Amino acid sequence: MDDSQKQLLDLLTSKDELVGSIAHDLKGLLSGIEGGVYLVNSGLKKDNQSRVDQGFDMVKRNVDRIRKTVSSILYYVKKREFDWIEVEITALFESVGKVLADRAAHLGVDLRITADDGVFEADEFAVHSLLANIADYALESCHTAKIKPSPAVALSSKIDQTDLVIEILADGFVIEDETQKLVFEPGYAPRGVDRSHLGLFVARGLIDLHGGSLTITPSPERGTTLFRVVMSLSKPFDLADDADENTEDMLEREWDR
Amino acid sequence: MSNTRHKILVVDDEPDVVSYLTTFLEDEGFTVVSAQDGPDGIAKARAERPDLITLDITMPGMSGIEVLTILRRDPELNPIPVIVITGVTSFKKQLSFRGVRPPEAFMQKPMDLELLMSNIDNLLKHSALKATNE
Repeated sequence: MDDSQKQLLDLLTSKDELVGSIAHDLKGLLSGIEGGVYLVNSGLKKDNQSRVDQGFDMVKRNVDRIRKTVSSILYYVKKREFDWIEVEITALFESVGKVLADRAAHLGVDLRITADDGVFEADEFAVHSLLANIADYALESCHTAKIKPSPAVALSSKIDQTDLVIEILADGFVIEDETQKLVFEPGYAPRGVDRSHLGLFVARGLIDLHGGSLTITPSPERGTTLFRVVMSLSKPFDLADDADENTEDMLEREWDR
Repeated sequence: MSNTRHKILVVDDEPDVVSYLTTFLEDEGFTVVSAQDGPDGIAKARAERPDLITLDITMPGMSGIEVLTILRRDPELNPIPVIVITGVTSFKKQLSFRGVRPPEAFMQKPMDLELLMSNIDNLLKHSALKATNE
């Protein structure tokens, strides 16, 4: 088998693994919705309002998770041109915070948001998605790791000359070297910390499409992991409006990397 | 079949699945204990000596496969029937390399509750017959 055949086989295998991972995640989410429906129905039959409330919460939570998974899949497969606009940093962070608040509360992880005033040029939906996906991964990792009694995830931003620096600090989780190499790969299925790994693959692709960078810094002595996203405040010069590549082509290129 | 004397241990890292199974099985008259990871599952199996265990495969730290291997290798826990309830389809191959007895039943998520009850009833009847004959 020559190199190009081997590469093609690797690519096909990765895509099969990715589809398998998505199917596994969706099965879990459907179980959550079915569980919620069961609790609502049985709660109504038994006139148990507490059970009905618990059931509705379960349904809402899992519908939200399915929405995020589907969003990530659509980003991967859809031909989508970026819609570059001026995004207000504070409003963006508030919106991400609202989306994640229930999830953080459910996982027992404190979520803290601080953002500098200001604006930057980006595709608002894409940036919202990538921040939410990284933060969700951080929340779930802190919950699963159980290394601190009061884990927390802090999202912050600051403007550094011509760049926007976004930091997501997971206080209660230390990413391992091996995981760092794998976590942004499409077929990666971490044990236990699942359901958001496709989002991380898409998150990295979206950061690249904005001409930005992402670094991950674990601090074992502090029990933390810092995800640092740096993006230009202005749309990068080489990402011209009339660029030939669309989103899907660039994500394909990312996949093949 | 009388269910009130039977105890089931539910092992799954997903809280919603634990709530679902616990509520359903309690409604069916079982006593239910639960564990959200492998080590707690093993500890509760030893402490509670359930009549049956439902076991997820994909869990943080210790997977369901490792839990099942430990259960099978412990002479006191080996007889407890295990139903694997999982979204993973390839675990049977992994088990064959460990030389352990496979689970008595295997179910895919999302769950078919009728099938689950049928499996539980059959396994508990089988256990009762086995105990009578020994």
